[in-house]
Amino acid sequence: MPSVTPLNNPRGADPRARIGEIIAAGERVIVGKTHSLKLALTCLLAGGHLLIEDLPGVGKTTLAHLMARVLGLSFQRIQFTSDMLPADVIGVTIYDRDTQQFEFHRGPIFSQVILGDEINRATPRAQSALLEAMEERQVTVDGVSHRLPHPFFVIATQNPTYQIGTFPLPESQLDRFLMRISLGYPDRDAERALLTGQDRRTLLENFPAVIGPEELLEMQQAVGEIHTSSALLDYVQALLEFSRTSPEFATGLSPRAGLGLVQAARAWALLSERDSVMPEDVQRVLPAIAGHRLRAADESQQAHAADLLLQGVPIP
Amino acid sequence: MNAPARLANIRTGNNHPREVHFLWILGALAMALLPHSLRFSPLLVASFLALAFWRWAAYRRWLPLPDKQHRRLLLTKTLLVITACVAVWVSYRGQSGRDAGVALLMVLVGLKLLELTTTRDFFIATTLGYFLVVTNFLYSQTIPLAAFMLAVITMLTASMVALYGGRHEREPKWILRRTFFIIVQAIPLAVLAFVFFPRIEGPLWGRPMLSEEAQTGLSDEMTPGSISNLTLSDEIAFRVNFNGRIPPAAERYWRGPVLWHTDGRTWRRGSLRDPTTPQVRFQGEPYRYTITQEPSNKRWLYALELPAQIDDDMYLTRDLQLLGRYRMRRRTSFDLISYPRFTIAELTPAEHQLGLQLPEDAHPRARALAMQWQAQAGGDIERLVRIALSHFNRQPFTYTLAPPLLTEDPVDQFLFETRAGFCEHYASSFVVLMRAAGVPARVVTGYQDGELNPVGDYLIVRQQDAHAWAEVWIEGRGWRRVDPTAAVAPERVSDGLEMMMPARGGLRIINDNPATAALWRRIQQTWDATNHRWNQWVLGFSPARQQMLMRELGLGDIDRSVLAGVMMAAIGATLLLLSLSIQRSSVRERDPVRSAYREFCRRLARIGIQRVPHEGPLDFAARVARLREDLAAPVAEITGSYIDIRYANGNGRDAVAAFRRQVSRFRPRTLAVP
Repeated sequence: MPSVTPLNNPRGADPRARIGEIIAAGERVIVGKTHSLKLALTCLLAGGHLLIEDLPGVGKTTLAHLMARVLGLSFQRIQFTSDMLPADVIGVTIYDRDTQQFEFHRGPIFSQVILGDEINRATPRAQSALLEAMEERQVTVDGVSHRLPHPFFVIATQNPTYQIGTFPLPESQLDRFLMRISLGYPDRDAERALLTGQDRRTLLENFPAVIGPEELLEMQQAVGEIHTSSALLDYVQALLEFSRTSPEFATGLSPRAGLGLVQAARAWALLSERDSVMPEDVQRVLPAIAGHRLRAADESQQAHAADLLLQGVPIP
Repeated sequence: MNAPARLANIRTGNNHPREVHFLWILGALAMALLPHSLRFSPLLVASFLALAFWRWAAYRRWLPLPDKQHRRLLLTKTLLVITACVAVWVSYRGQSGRDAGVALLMVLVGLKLLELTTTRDFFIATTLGYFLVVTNFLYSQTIPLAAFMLAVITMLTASMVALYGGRHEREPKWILRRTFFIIVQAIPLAVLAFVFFPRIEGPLWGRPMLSEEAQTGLSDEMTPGSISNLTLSDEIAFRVNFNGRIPPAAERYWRGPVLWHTDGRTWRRGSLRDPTTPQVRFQGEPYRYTITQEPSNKRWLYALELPAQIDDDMYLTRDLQLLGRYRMRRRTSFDLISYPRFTIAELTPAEHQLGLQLPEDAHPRARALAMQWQAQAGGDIERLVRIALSHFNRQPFTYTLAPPLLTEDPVDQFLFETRAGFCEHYASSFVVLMRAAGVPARVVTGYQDGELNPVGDYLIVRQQDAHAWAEVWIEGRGWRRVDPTAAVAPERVSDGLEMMMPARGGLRIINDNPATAALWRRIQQTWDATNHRWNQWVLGFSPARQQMLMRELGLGDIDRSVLAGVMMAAIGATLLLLSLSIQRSSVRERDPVRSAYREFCRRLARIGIQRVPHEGPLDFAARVARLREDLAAPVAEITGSYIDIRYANGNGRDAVAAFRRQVSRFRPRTLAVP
């Protein structure tokens, strides 16, 4: 098995030791969804934002809330509606009569973990306010820039776009989410555990944090130090090339998607307690990264686009 | 797409052809079927189009396809196949043969369209398309059809190119350019194979011609109007290549059926059944020539007077007619030597009797005229002939392609009332007059003149050159040819009919202007010369011609089976080399680590655990461990070393050497079956 060498860590403690704890803690709340949980954590460690697309009631909000609690981060939920304005997300400047000055009142976006609930129910204007902030990691109101907290992590949820009253996110904005995952229905055992167990909301309210923001930043730094060999980069490039040249795909993967793929594979390798990225790491994260970017030429194959890509490219 | 990925794609065929590929192949198949669509029932064509529409509608999601997702339709498909086979069987009354076979192929190709999903299906459909192309040659082997078929082959190949076109698949220009290069590369190979592959006697597509299939041409009967009908056709009867001298137009009498018996209107061959060949004395210089005769479905052949040397499979009858042993069912060439001057000394009693036969009580006025001439000539037959010819010349006889209808006694009516007729009128009434005057005479039909094609230097004889003339017996000199038509319309014989009729085809505006008419004529001649060469060298490329060519190339003595063996070996070797080079380009490995890992995978494949090309080393190791617990440890060890070297930082010569040693020590065995 691959030798695991300790990472350079300024505080000497190996952050990876805590990963198992984080996941174990998460599994207590989100039962039977280890893979989704790991992907969400991977996304966060890779410094990307997460889009959860699924039916109402399968635990999207719970997952977002859980991530904030477990990592000890501040949490805000923005429920998107069709009459929402950008100011409702970012904040407003109000004239303060006492100080006789304009004062900026921060909106809900100034939080470490944002849950943008049902983002595709908002109008494109409100959507773009959030998405711009995601990209810039700051907001500018009346010429004054306000930095967003660090780490900053947006979990947006959206209903499947065929549902009524939705504004589907355009491809350019989808690209800003590193990953798109879905949770799906729990299996039989998980469902039973859910039905017999404690109410998720109360469980979450008293849930202890496993790590804090500093440790999370260290972990994000450790992700950047995971080794990627040239053989692995060959593989990633072959995947990107295939997605662009194969007639099976109408749109291939962008360079941004490629960067995200490598970063996420690193985070996955960290989660898997390795210090170098394996082709398997790429394969595990690829569906979440490519699913919302890759367009199959044959629409009926859209659901399997990522599989088509993986199966089409032999590992060099 | 990088090469290995593309190859993997081709091998597994896991890319999914789409509408654009379907349209390519549908276009190519429709083109291949186009010539057939005129030959087969519209129902067949309609069912093909309906099936094609069904498949296309499925791409558009208007209709479901009979596939695994729609199991109910699978039964429909089976029923369709059975219905199609039964329908073909019934419409051809259970006969197997060309038409039934092609019809079945067409229906099955149509049904195959419903199954077009994977690359492999497209591959099969294209191959079927190539077969369909070939079936067109069972019906016609002309140059335009060959050119069209080349276009169809191009389209079929293009549909394959589109299938593997990758990102270019929506660029028809790119696809056609690619195809063009492929076809151009294939042409020399095709020519080599055509020239050197052992020929089979007779054309490969030797069609069993049905006797009902009517062929235009002379028959062994003549009624007023039968030849003038023929002259409306510019179909080619035969072509002649002269070896040396070419006879002048007035001597180009191509002798065909000889008619003895008349009932007053119709002339027939009569009852001369004499198997002997007459004693002929030849004089003067012969003409040497090769006749390439179009299929006539008749036994008789045409030749200049008088063939002295003929092939084995033909013979000369008592009345000097050249007969083949079989009906002429396909285009045939034969070499002949003819002497224009010859003498026959003997007239048998049977010939004499037939040569004077006249129907009882017919042609009273003609008989009276003949008696009058007989008295005038006083036994001098040559004089009698001259009197008769001058009668035709001086009296207001006209030569016309559209003579008035003869209702009563055709000979009398023509000679004394209408006085307008075509060669058969003149020949038949002349013979009647001679017989009435006591001179043995007979009607000879055949062709006269022909068009000399300066391009290619040969003579084209068409149906419109059909002619009838007379022969009279002159004691001491034998049978002499007399052409009464020449007395009426000398230009008919010297210039041929051609000059009396508007040029073939073409618009009036072309024919009215002498310059464009000449150009048009030249184009026609060039085209016919091309056809002639095509017939001789492509369609008529017989084993004999092949042997001749090989001798000229100095390969004359090579045995046919040896030649076939060499060709097969060459093709086999080429295919082997090609497949090897494809294999190598995907497998060739210089990196020792990768080649050692590959070896490791090969050893596992040998015991039945095959690594999928996109399976990562860890996943593969896990799978092996699941399948064979006993191998888990060594496999984990080898995999660990491999990923250490390849994906982690653990590179170094020692590590590589150690890894290779690990692999070479790894010898998994199949578990004994308990």
